[in-house]
Amino acid sequence: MQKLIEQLINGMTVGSFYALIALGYTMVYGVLSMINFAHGDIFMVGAYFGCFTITQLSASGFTQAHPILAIIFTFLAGALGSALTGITVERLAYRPLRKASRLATLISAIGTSIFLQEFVRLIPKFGSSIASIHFGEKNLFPESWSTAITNVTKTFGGAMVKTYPGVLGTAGIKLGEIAISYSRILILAIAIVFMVLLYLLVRLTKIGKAMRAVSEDKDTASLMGINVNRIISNTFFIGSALAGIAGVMMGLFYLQIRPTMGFTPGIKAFTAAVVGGIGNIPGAMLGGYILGLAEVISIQFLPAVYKDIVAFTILIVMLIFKPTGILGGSGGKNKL
Amino acid sequence: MNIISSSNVTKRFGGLEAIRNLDVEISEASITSVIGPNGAGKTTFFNCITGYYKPEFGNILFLEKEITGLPPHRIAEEGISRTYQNIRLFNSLTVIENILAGEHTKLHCSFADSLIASKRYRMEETESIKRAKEILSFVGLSGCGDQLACNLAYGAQRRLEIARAIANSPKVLLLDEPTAGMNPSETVEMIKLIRRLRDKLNITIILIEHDIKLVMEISEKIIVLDFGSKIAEGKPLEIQNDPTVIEAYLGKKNSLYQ
Amino acid sequence: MKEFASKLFNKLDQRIIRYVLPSLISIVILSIPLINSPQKNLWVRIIGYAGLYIILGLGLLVHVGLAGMFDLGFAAFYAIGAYTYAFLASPHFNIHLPFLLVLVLAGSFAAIVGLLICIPVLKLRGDYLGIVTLGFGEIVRMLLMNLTNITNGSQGIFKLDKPSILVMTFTSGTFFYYFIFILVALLLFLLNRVINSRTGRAWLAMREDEDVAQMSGINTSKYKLLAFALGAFIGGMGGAIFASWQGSIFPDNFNMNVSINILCVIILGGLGNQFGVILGAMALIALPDILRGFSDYRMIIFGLLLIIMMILQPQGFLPRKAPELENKVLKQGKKKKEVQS
Repeated sequence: MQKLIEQLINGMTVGSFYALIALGYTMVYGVLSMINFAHGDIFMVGAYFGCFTITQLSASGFTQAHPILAIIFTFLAGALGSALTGITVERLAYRPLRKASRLATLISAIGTSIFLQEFVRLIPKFGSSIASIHFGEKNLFPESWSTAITNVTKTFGGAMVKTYPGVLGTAGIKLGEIAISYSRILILAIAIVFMVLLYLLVRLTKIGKAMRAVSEDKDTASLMGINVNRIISNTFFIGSALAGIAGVMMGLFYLQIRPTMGFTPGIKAFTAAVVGGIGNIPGAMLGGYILGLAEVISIQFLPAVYKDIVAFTILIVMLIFKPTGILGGSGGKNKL
Repeated sequence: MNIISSSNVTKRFGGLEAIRNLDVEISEASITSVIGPNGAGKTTFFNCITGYYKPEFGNILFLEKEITGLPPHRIAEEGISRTYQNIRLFNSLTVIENILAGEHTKLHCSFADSLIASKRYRMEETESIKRAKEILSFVGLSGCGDQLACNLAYGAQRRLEIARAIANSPKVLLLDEPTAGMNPSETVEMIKLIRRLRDKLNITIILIEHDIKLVMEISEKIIVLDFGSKIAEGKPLEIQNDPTVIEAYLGKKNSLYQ
Repeated sequence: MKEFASKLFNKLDQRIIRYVLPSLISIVILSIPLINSPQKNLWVRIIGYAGLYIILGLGLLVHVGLAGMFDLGFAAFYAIGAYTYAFLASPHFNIHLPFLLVLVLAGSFAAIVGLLICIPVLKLRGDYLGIVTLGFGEIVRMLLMNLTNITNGSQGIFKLDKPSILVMTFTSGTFFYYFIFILVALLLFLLNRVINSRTGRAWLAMREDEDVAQMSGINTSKYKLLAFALGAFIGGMGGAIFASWQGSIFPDNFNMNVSINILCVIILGGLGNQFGVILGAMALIALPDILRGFSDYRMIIFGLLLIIMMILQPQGFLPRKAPELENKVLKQGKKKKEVQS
C-alpha cells in the first residue's frame, strides 16, 4: 500500500512535467494546426537558461543568502529564455510557411529542433570563435570581453552534461510512513498553479478569447479585427514559457541536463496532448498525468528500460484508434 | 430500368441532416439537373453516390445493384465518375497524365508488370496514351497534352476534369457546377460538350448547376432540393412554374421583399 | 528563386541534362576506384557510402515522394535489413547463407514489417503519420538495444561474412563500391519505369489529392501498402549491404539522426525526382566528409538547410520532370507544336 502511494506520487511528479510541456504542444496545435516538433527543444533551452542562472547565483553566494528568490529568478530565466526562443522560432521558421503544406511546416520544425540542439551543444565553440575574431594581429574584442564571452558561452552550453546545484535538497514531509520530498510538492504545486492560470487566461481574458477565435478560424478572426500574428506570437510565448518552467523544474529535480534532453520528454508530452485531445487545454493536463501514471505503473510489470516504449506505444495506439483523444480534439483528420 | 436510384437516403453531420429521405430516379442516358439554393445538399448527394460519404439511412442502387457504402474506388470501377465544384486536378501531372490516371480502372497493368516491362505493360502504355489523345480531342484539348495541368486556362481545366472523368468509360457522369466561373461563350461550348457526352458516348449525365438558363436549356428532368429534401421534380417547364420552387429561391410571396 | 531556377533549366538544352550530364557523372563515379592515389581508399569509402545513401534515399522517396506517406523512422527498415544479414551471415547464430540470397531476404523481411506497420496507419494523414513512424523507428531501435539475447544489445554483432557472388569475394571496398552503384543504376532504371506506368501514376495522383484519386478509381489503401513495402524492401537491402561492408553493426547505427539524414537527402533533391536523390546524397553525405573540418557542424547545417529549403523551395531544387507523352509518338513526321486551346 505504501509502495502504491509512493508510486502514485512518482507518477504525479513525472506527469507534471509532461502536462506542462503538453500544454505548449496543444496550444500551438490549436492556433496553427501544426505539431511544433521543436517544442521539446524549447523545453531544453529553458533548462539551460535556468542552469546558467542558478549556477551564477550560487557561485556568487546569492542562493545561499536568498534561496527562494534565487529559485524564482531561475524559473523566470528559464521561462523567459524559452519564451523568447519560441517566438523567434515562430517568426523565422514557421510564419513564412503559414500558407505552405503541413508537411513543409513539419520538416521546418524538425530542422529547428536539430538546430536548437546543435546550437546549444556548439555554443562554447561559437563563443570562442567570436571572441577570437581578429583583423590581422589585432583582436576585435578587448581581452576582458573575449574571456567573458568565452566563459559565458562555455558555462551556458556545450556537449557535456551540465549539473544544477542541488538547491532543493532532499528534505520533505512525512505523512505516516510515506516520505514526500519538498521538491515533489513544489513541482506539483507549480504545475497546478500554472495550469489553473492558463485555463483562466484562455477562458476569461480578452487574449484568451482571441486565441480561441484564432484556433477556430484564423482568417475569419483576422477579418474580425484580431491581429492574428500577434496572437500566434503570444500563444508561442506562453506555451514556450510553460515548457521553460518545466525545463527548470527538470533541472532542479533531476540535476542533469544535456542538449538532447528534449527529445524524449517532447515526444511523451506530445503523446500526453494526443491522449487528452490535441488542441484541448484541460486535455493536455489530463493526458500528462495519465501518461505519468501509466509510465510509473508499467515499471512494475516491465523492465525499466522499456519505459519509453510504453509511451510510444500509447501514442501509436491513440493515433490509430482514437486520434481525437479522451476529451476530444481535432484528431489529425484535417485535410492537408 | 433506372440507371441510378436512391431511396430514403439520409446523411447526417453531427446534428445536422444534410440530406433527408431522398428518393431519386435517374433513367439511362438522360440528362438530369439537380438544382437548389446553396446548402440544399446537392454536393452531399453526389458525395453519397460516389461513396465519399456513407449515408445513415437509405440505399443507392446502380443498375439495380446496391452501391451504398461501397468504397469510392469500387464505385468508380462500377462506372460512376464525377467532377468537382472547385476544380481538383492532379496539378503536378501533365494533362495527358491526368487522363491516364483517370483510365486507371480500365487498365490492368500491375506493379510487377511495369517492373519487368511485360508485354501487357508495353501494350497498355501505348493503348492508354492513344486513348488519352482521343479523349483530349473529344473535349477539345488536343495539343495541350504535355502541359502541366495547373498551367491550363480555367475553362480548359474544367474540360480536363471532364476528360479525366470519362477516361474510364463511365456509364454515369456527375458534373458539379461545370460552368461555374465561365463566361457565356465558354458556357455555350460546355453545353455542346455535355450533349456530345450523352449523344456520342451514351453517358448518363447528372448535373448540379446554378445557371438556370443552362439548366432549362439542357435538362430532360430537373430535381429541386431545398434544406436537404426534394421539393420538386419534373420537366423544365413544370419546374419553372412550380410555386414551391419559386418560393425556395425567392422567398414567400407575402414576405417584405416580394 | 523558383523562377530563376526554372529559367536556368529551360535555357540549358534538355539534351544536356538528359544525356550528357548523367553520362559524365556516371563516368566519374565509375572511375574513382581506378585512380592511383594513396587517398583512393578514403574516396572509395566516402563516395561508396554516399552511394549507399542513394539507395536508402530511393527507398524513402518511394514512401514520401510517391505514396505521400511521411516517414520519419526509415532507419528502422535499414536496421531490420542489417540485422537480418547479421543473423543469417555471421558466426552469431552460425548461419552462413549466400550474399544475394540474404540481400533478398533482408529486403523481404523489411517489407513484411513495413506492411504490418502500414496497415494500422492507412487512414492517418501527414504530420500525424510522421510522428507515428518516428515512434516505430524508435521502438525498433529500443528493441534492438534491449533484446540482448537475440541482438547482443549495444555490444553489437561482429565478424559478419564477407559477401561473395559466384566465385568473386568482396575483399576490398572497391567491390562494395561497384556493387552499390550497379544497384543504384538498376534501381533508378526500374523506378523510372514504374513511375511512368499505371502504378506510378496512381501513386502520384494519390499524393496530389487522395480523395479525388479514390473517386477516380484508385484503391489508395492497396497502393499505399505497395509503396510502403517497396520502400521498406529497398531500405532493407541497403541495410544488408551496410552490414556486410562494415563487418559489424550496433543499434546506434540506426538512430533517429540516420532517419533525418536520409530525409535530408531526398528533400534536397526534390520530393518527386529520383535523380535528385543522387544530388542530395552527394551533397549531404560526401561533401561533409570531404570538407573534414566541418564535420562537427554537419548536423546544425542540416537543420538550417531543412528550414531554409522549406521556406525557399518546398519542392526541392529539382522538380519532377513531367514526361512528354503527347508529342512522343508524333516525333516521326511533322511535329504539331501549335496549341489549339
